[in-house]
Amino acid sequence: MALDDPHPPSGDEPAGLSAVRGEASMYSDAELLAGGELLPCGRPLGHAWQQARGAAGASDEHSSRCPHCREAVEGLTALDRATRALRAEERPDGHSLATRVINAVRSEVRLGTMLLLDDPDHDLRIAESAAAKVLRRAADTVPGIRAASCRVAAAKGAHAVHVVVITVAATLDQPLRGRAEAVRQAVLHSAEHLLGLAVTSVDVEVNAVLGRSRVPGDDRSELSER
Amino acid sequence: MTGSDRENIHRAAARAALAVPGVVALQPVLADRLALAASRVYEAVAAGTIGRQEAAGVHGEITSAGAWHLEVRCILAGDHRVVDLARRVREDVRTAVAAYLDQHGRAAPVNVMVTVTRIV
Repeated sequence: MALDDPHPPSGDEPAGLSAVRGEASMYSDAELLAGGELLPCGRPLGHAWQQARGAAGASDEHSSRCPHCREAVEGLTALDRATRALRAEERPDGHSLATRVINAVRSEVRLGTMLLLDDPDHDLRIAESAAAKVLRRAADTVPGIRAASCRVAAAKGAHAVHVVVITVAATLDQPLRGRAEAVRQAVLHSAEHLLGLAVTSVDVEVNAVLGRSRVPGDDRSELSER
Repeated sequence: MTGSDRENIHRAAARAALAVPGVVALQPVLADRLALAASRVYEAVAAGTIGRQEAAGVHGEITSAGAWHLEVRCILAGDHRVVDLARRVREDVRTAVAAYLDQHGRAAPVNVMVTVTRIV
């Protein structure tokens, strides 16, 4: 906005715009330049705020009835409340705040990629971490198997079809080929019946040997070596 | 569309999602989690008319075509088939938000994306 506008408003401009200009001209150019933003009703945001704080005189009929001015004042009230809360903290603990922020971001990252559930509309998703937890639990139901990790990803060229890679530890009292097949079937069953996730292939990797528990009658196995 | 209108739509969506049996909670989007991290400021703001906390697991925006696009992030109970529960959430949220818009004379298409973040 120019401080000395050489072009006064012409008579043929829209009436609404003339009204806005007329309203805005009530306030100083400096205030407009400092506050910048005009509300849709034509009043500067800065003026509404000053009026709310009593610095610009008592509120007039417009400001008490105008929804735009009222909303601006409500926003300022919320900001004031937040500022007071911050000011009330005797010793702002930047470290704990940073820790909370880092934890929030980490937990978001831990969700993993979002996988499409088996639905034709393609707007139902599940976090990889949530799906993997269910599939690991399915593998754990196979005797002599303990799941270590599970990755689920969209198959190449298909968004709603997935491949699973699951890493397990196994006891050696049964042939590993049969154990791996049992794991594969358990994972496929859970993917379809518990999740509703389309899975086309399950790769099972056995990367550790489980030893039988020394406790008699305890059928849990313990990891002995890699 | 004012800020409080948007919040009302978020709240309607959150209530519809939480009313589905098997939905344990809504999980806030990252922006809300960061606000929660600065909890004192967040609480101060939430104490006002905004009421954001209740709908922290819902994120909504209006597309250029005038439709509402909502994302609802849910934590589900493990005793239901996930895709079936997610479908129910999608339908109930869509119905609730469409009804709200209709009641306020602003009928518009509503698209709902349901994201399951945890199963407990």
